[in-house]
Amino acid sequence: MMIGKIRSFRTNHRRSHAAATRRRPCVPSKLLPAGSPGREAIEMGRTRLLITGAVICVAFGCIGLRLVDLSLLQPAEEPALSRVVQSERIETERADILDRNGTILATGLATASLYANPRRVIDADDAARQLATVLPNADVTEFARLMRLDRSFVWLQRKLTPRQHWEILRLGIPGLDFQREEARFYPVGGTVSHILGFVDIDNHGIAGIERSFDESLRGNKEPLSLTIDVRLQHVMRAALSDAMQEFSAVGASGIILDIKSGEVLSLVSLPDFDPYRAGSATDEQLRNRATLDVYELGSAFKVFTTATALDTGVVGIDGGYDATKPIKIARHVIRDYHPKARWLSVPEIFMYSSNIGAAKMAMDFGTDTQRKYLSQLGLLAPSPLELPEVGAPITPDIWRPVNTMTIAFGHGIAVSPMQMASAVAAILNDGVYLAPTLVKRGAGSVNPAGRRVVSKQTSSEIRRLMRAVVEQGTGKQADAEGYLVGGKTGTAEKQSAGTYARKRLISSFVGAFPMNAPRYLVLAVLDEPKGTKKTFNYATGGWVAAPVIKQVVERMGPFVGIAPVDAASPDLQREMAVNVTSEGHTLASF
Amino acid sequence: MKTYTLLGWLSLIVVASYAMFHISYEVEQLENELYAVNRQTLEEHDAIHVLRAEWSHLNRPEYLRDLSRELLPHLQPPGIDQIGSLQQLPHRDEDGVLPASIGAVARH
Repeated sequence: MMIGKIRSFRTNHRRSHAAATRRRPCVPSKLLPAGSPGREAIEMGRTRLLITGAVICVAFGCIGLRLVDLSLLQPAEEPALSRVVQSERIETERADILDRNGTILATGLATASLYANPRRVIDADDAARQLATVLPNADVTEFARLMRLDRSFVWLQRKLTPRQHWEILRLGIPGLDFQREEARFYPVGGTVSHILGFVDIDNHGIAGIERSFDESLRGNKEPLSLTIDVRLQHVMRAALSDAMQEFSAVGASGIILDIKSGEVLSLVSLPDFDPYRAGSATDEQLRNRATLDVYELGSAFKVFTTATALDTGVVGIDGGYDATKPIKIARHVIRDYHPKARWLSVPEIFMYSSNIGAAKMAMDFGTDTQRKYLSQLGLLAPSPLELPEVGAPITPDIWRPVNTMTIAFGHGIAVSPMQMASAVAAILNDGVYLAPTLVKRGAGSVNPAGRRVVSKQTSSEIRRLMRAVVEQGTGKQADAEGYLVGGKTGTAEKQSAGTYARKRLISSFVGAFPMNAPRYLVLAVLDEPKGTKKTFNYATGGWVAAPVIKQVVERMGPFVGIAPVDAASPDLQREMAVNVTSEGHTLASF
Repeated sequence: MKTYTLLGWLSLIVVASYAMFHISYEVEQLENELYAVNRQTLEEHDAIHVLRAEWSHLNRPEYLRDLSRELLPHLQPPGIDQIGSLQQLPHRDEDGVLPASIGAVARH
């Protein structure tokens, strides 16, 4: 309508213009004679005026049209500006990492980084001196040198705290400016340091989950949920750290595993480090003892030996072996740590941790069977856990009979605590091996199918044997009342320069609860513990690692929702019963 | 008559242009407001993000343990006798009176 109006206006104008031209010869002819010079001059002036008027009209017409065009016909451009700000969530460079309950373990926070444009700095020395009053451990001469360079950009200090940012703004030094950068922030600190790892100054993951999921963390905006429970992580870390102090151990590691799903609820390695100062941490602190280090874990291997023997049927739960005399093979002598020097039943071999009995069992089922079972339990290949720091097991190059015998009680093979935990969990999980994982599966997704290693029957027998170890064997100190804990101690001498060092032990305890339907596995390993008066100078797994298990189980039981039971009730007693001594072999003295 | 028509058209043009520019300015003002509100939303998002990180930091277990040791010295980890199931609770009798055993437990 508007355009129509303007058009009509313009046609009117043209019409009047035409009328003026038509009338033109009549008016001047009365005043001046045709052909006189004055008349020509007037006509020329009139033509010029008309042309100018026409040009101005066209110009205004164009402006008018454009005005209409801008204000009415092009509405798309303006709101674009406001749509840019309409962002739903904060744009972060790296996705957050959460624990299984949604607690933030790692997040990115915007920080200011200070840079200088040396060409605009007026007095470099003075500026450096002023900066040093605000930034702790600032090097005045270095700052002054940087600000005198012939460049237009030098970093002075990256990732300032908000207070430092404000103080530098207040100084108002010309030539300094800030750039917004994202700093990785670990709200729970050292508790989860080995799992998360850390990032470098440019936010590239260089250890732990930060490294193994570097690309997806950078590309994805959805947070990554781990299977770790910060509360359990704390319980485990506190218990291990107390034990480490009490027994002056050089290191410790602990794992809590959900037997039914393979989820790792806690993974602790001590000593650990502060993720903000990862650069100044020692190698000892940075090393993940739970996944990277491999140890000869000793008697805990008897779980696998006994399970293999029962599963292959070379001996029944009622059978046994003569453990009267040590076995001499090649240059080695296999002795018992707690010698009974008599015939021992299978439960006794397990409970009293008889090396002779275990070695004889292994000889009965043979090397090939042993290798097959250990491989099925994931003990001959690195753990599939989602961390870059995963150690490969050390196994004999040539598997001789002597290796078979020593491996039966956990010597001559070195595995990581993580491998140990998943292998024992497999035996307790009705004999089905599940790959351990640190990444929580989405809600509603089913647990992956594992691979069957031993039968349900064997699993049930091993459960009862492990319960017997805690009830009446070497693991009594792990018995957290009401939680039906079962387990197996392990004590091994550390190898140094090819020989075993008597005083340097690796003491461990692998426990699980509740033993009638195992749900959680708890493993604690102490590196070089020393006995105290309270432990009668013993530093074995049963004395130093078992109490850690008890403490952890007592603390975690209530909040993982395991109802305490009365272990003395007749039903449970019957369910967990083990015939320790077999008829016909019972000695009068026992 | 011609003059009236012209005047009519002129006044229509004036009214229409006034209305058009008035609406246009109003829209612009509203857009500015929207922009400000969106900016504020973003800032609040940012603040919430920082507060979440702080919440997580203040809830770290070591810190809570130290606080509880200092401020709640008599609080102990729960023992197994403090944990029960709903089935263990006795029902009220027909008159709505609690059984005597409950009272004993409560007094204890």
